[in-house]
Amino acid sequence: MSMVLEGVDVEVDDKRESDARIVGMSALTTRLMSGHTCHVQEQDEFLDDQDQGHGQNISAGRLRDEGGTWRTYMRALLFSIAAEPEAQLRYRTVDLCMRMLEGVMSNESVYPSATPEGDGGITLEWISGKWLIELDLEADGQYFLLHSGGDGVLKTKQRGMVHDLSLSALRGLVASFTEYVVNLNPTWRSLYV
Amino acid sequence: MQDAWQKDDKTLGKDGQVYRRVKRVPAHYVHPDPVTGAPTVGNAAFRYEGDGMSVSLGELMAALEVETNDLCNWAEYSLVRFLVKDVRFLKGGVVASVDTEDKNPKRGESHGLVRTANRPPDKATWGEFRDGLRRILTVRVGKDSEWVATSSSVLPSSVQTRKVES
Repeated sequence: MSMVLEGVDVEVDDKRESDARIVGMSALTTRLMSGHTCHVQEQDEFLDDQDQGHGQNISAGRLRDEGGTWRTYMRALLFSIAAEPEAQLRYRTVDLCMRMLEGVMSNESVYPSATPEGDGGITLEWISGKWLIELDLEADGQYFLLHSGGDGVLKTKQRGMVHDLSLSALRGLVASFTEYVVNLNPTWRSLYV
Repeated sequence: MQDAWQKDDKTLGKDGQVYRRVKRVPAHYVHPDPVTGAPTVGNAAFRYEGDGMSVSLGELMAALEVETNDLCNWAEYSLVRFLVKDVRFLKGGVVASVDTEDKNPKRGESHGLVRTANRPPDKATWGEFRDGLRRILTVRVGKDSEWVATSSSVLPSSVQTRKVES
């Protein structure tokens, strides 16, 4: 079985190999292993979502990630944040965050920044000039969305439960933001290597 | 009974600088603008904790001879700054609040808090407030670096004239 830990090259289907790797693990990887437990607990829930057409399996998305797109960048960023104890970010939250992004991002989408709120929540922000899309995913299951366009005028201020968040609306905002960025800097990806 | 809530200390001059450390490693807070590559500071860098957002007050720092280089380890942090009047413009306030746990006593005495009218502010109010702050701050990313406006600066007031001030 190899799921959330694929990104850090830890396989858990071969116990001997796994044990051998654990001996030499860094603190970061050890924390990732502990996070693995959370992910396993969530598997049935993820599969249920798939069956009902409510979501998309992250592993499936990962398999398509051949060109170093947002998945590679965001997975590394979110795991590095979760590895810091002060962030108090659970690996389950990282996984849920990646799932949500699957419904929002395309392979062309500009990457958001990600910042721990320190209480288990995380903030994703797409910022350039006067543009802002801020999505706070809070530990208690609520979200806060703030959006201002190229004119700097606040257009959206929304708060609610995450399961009520309109991913299609958010996808539209990110697509508009991406269009704005690509028009001005088609080589924006070079800033994130 | 709860103490009376002081949002703002009017004895602090409106032109005083307000500094806040922003953790940079591993690049959680200072994210490149995808158009210009210039540093941007996300709203999440402005966290309300306990009784306010932790800052250092330039007016007190000057009196206590605390330098901006004393405020952070540049390997891990950047500094952002704005003015007391910027905070007031956004309907917030600034109060002095000694940090007794700071290993540098003078730095601890120059500590302050940024507050809003409510204690604590609701998420939406704080979210809008800190978005305003993000748009008026300047950032310094190293000991020998200059203070620069971020690409998000939109207010034409004091910020633009502070753009290259050191």
